[in-house]
Amino acid sequence: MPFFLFDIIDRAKGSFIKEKSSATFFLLLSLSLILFLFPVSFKNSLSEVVIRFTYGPFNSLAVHVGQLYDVHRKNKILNEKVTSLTLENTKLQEESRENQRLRQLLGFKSASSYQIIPAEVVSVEPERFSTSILINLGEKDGVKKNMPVINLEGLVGKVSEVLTGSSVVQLLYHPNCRVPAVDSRNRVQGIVKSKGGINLNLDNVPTEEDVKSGDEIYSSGMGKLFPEGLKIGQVLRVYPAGDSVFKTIILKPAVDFSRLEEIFLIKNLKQD
Amino acid sequence: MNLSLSKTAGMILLILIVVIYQSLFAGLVTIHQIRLDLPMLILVYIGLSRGPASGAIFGFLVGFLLDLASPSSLGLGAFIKTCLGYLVGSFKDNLYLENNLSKGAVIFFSLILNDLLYYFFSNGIKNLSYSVSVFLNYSLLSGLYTALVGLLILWLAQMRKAKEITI
Repeated sequence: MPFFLFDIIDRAKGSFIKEKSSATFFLLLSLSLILFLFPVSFKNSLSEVVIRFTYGPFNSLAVHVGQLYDVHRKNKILNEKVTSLTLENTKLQEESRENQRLRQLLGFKSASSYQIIPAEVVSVEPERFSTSILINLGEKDGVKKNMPVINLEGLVGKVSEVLTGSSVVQLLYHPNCRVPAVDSRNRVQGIVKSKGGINLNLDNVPTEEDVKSGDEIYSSGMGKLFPEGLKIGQVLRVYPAGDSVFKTIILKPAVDFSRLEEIFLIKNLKQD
Repeated sequence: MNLSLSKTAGMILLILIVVIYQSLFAGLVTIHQIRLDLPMLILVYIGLSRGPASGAIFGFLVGFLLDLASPSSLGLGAFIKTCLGYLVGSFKDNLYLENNLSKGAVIFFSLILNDLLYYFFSNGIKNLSYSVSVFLNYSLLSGLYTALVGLLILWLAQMRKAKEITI
């Protein structure tokens, strides 16, 4: 066969491969776009089904292996905690009785008690800096939008999307998450929010207020979305206000967001 | 036929590795929220070794799997990673990639581009200062971390190859 025929065959082969690649590329791009444009309800159902068959088995394995591995260490810590909490509980029960007596004397309504639902983290958002997680409970388990989420360390965030068997939890790191907060030392109030770093900010604290590094910040219960008294973090640094009327206050979160495993949802609050 | 079968099997295996990594190990290798982006590392490997079509297919599948964690933006990661897989794959024959440093640079810049596109499409100009802060604090360091791990894997693979040739 003459050489130029080899050349023609090679060229044809090259252009066919190139065309095939481009066709594949455009087909996949269209598929991604169609997926993106689907209604959220459909995307939620689709995600739930696919997660069950892909991540599901490995997540269960991870939870079980992690539980087995951690059981001795956690048992020791929990025993110590049970002892100290029993002592604290006795003291608190005494104080609660006294508080109830005083509330009755003053004619206040009694504070409602909350019910907690344990949940497990299924997967973490793919963004470089995670601001949401997916948990294994959904509508069928009684989860509702805006339910506050905590773990043993403190406030984690709130439920932002509820699917049938799973839900998305918006962490305190999410740019749209704001928590009314209070300094436990002097009851100075502010708003906790993230500005895209590993630490949080306590905003709206006027310059004349006395907030020091080391102060502990808790949820204030204002807005009724988050209950009062959930630990958010500790003041790390306080910067002078400069020209602003508010101080710049940096908080170290109480929760280690990179190691979220078991979390709890709080029921009985203002939820959609 | 056998070659394409083995290629498909290889891709399924790599997808499985990504799922296992995301479920079991991603948290263990995260340092101060700086993540090792193994899916992107594999995407660059597939693109550079098999070309644009394979890069785009792997990018779509991995992007889709990662999107499952935030269902409201399902399709966005798949779209971005399909583009990146195709782009990296098109470097296969057009870029001098014998040098390990250039491979490291491709990994680093792929990650940066992935994050820039993700922030742009998911946040737009809303929360711009937040996106910039996350990009500067996490994306750059994650890119560096992943590129360094990629270079280490390459170096170990080359050492092993050199040893086999000597024997």
